[in-house]
Amino acid sequence: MSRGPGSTRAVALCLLVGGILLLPLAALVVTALLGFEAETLLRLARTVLADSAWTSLLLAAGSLGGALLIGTSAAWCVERFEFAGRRWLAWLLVLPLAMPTYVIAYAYTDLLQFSGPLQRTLRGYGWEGRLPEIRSLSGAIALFALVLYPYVYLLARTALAQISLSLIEAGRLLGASGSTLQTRLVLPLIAPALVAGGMLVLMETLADVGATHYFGLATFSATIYRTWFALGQREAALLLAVVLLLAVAAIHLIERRARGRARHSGSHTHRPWPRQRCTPLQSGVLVTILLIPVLLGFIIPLANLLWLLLREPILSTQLERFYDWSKHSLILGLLGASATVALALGFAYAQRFSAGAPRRWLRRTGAALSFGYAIPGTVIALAILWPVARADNWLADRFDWQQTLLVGSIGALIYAYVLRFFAVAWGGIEAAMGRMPDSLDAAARSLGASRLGVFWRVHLPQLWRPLAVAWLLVLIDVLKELPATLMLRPFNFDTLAVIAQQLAADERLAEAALPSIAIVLVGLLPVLGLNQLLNRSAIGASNGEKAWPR
Amino acid sequence: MATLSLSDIRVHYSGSAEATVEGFSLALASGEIACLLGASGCGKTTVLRAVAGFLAPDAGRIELAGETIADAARQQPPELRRIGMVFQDFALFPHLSVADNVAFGLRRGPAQLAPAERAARVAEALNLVYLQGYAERYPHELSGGQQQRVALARALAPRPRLLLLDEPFSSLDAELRESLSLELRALLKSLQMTAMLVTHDQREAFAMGDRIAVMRDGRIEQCDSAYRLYHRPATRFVADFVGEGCFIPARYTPVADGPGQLHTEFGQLPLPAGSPEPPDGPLDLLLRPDDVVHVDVSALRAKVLRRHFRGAEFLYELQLESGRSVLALVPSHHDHAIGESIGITLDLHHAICFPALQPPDPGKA
Repeated sequence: MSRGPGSTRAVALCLLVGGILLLPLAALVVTALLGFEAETLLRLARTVLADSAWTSLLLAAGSLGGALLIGTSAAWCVERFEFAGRRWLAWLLVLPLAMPTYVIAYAYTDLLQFSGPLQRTLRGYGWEGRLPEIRSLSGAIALFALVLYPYVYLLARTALAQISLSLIEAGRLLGASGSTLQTRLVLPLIAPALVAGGMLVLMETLADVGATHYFGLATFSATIYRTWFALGQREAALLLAVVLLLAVAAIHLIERRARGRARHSGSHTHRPWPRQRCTPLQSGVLVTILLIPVLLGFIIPLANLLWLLLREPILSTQLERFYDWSKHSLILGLLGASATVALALGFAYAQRFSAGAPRRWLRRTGAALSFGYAIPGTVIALAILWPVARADNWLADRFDWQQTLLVGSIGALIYAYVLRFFAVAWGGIEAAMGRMPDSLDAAARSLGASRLGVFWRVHLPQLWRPLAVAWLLVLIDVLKELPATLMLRPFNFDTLAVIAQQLAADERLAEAALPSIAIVLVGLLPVLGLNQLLNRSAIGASNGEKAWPR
Repeated sequence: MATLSLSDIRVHYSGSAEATVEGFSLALASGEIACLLGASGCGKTTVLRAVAGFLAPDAGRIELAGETIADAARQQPPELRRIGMVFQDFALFPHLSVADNVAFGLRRGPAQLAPAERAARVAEALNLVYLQGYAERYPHELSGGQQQRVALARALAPRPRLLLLDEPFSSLDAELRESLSLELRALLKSLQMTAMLVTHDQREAFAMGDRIAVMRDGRIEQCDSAYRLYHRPATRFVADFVGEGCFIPARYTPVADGPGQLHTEFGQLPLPAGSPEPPDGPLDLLLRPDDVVHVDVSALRAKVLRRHFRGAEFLYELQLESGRSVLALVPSHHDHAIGESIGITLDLHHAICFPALQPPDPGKA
């Protein structure tokens, strides 16, 4: 309804902005595919590409396996058994999500190194051996699994909670019981959720620069970062970026299909599947086992960072600089979140007031922009840096300029954030807009409200909460983001994430502790909200059932 | 209240799911309730949305209380028309309580009221729909029937000049529909509200409308009372669409002084008085289930093909000797098994004939 010439302009503007945002990525692929000679490609493929592909593959497969194992078992225990402390554990198990991979890497490096607290304590008891080196591929796999398993855990829990008792009863009547029931019925039912959760783990693993670079692992992302900056081999970096982009695009498509299927698994007449009661002894065993990932993935590293902070008397001298880093982080966060939410809101309105072909194009552009969430920060950064670098070279050749143009600016960073985090804002805002049928607008108009009145009196009261949530989520994501910030930030513009990485790289782990802790605490906010949301949606899934047994 | 007149309007909107309406004219007297009846896609909702102001007519004119509210050149925006509307999905504002939903149209816009008057008007509107105790509830805490009544109270509170109802009962249970539609009609009549209702359910239309406009492909096929639509359908489409029935081949021979004769497989019968004069040539005669009467002793026999038990009566589908089938409504104590042969006669009070679609089978008619 109320489609007019104004909406045509809005659609055109949205498509233009979306196109501009997507242009660098398209240009990256095209230049890499057209601009290289076959010889260069082959040489690179034999050397850098083969190495980083192998390392990335091992890291991804290991982390994925570990995350699936921990996440699925934890979800199974929490959803299928009733024991003392279940609700608390259900919540605690999400906490590692607040721990960025680079932060847990610094924490464990300090904890486990020769001069670290653990080895010193052990030596105090007369122990003579050495602990395995955490700064290795297997160390990275263990740490990634420990902080990324909550993706699998959350989605598996939702899927398990949505299984209706009727399905289980039908399975029993058809002769399935015990392990047959699990493998033939339950596993297929939660499989889409496991695939979706696993894909998120893969994306995070492939995108990581902080931990892998710090551990000296030659993954795609870490190599892109190193070859571009340290070695100056831009062609190699570009090729890696394009290969990574294509790989991620493939994974993204698989994940979306898995989600599409998962959506159909919910049933309308939901009867909860009652949990198995546990004896006190069983409860004790379960709680102990389930506490392990929480301890290893969140409490121990955080405690070690706090201990590091208190142990070293550098806190007071650092505070003033800490204020600057926080300020920079916050500026980027505020600008990034506002720009992203504004664009998502613009898209949502343009889509609401358009029909036919323009609406289809908006939906496609929105979907393409949402793919940005899956693209590693290094690739996005490179896509933005590449044209600037070309222009720089061209200008240097032509005008014999010594000075480079290759100075990052806040603008480039915001650009990268909008592209990277559009999906975060878009998901919630589009869903909220979809929950308001057109008939609400028509009803308000027939009751005497003008177009603006419809926005103020009908839309905004329903939209402000999802808008605030989207804004906060993007803000926090920007604060935690490392690779793109690292590559694109203006000179001398250090954020919490960047400074933590740089201090850690200089082996100044004690100094890295304060910014790291700040990032973890900020990251806790959405994790807590996410858990609440999950509890609420589980209740929603029971569709009218009076109480969800907890 | 006010009169509504639509003259020769054309509404076409590319890129939308709504059907095109062309050459549509309809006039409502003050206090009259009209129903637009038709299958989905016939354009009935398009007409309603054009009257409300959400679609602009390309041609023609819509007048409300003698004032033009829309023509090809100029459309009054919907918020200034003072037309109330009850939506198919009720469109209650989920963030507002029942009282605030009803007060929405009274806070700003043409029906704005001072707070004290507003509260009184809200209470009055809720009274009207028997929802006095529900003012502080939220829409999701109400049943479907209660939500529908809130939607009605909200539309009526600003005292609109015209009330539009878009399939107002479609999301309710079948039992609720019947009682609510009679209740709603009584309420609208007591308020002398001019109203236009859109529905695809003829029982709803029969229960609600003073006049019913049967629509097809964006045009009105016939606009009449429920009785006349059923018994005097003007077109074959209306005869088919409204009520149950079937056609049997017939021939008509006029008689100079007296009723002409209809020749059918039931035998020869005089054209009942008051029936429209049948056209020339081979005919199809409309038989409603109440035109076929079961008489045990009748010589004319038919075989029971199917039976629907409806409580007070059976609806039998009977096979004639010619192989054609007719429907018969029979009191339910006449319980006959499928395959049984029963006696029937025709009891025509008026005959409705249309030119035959297929040439009649020679020797059988």
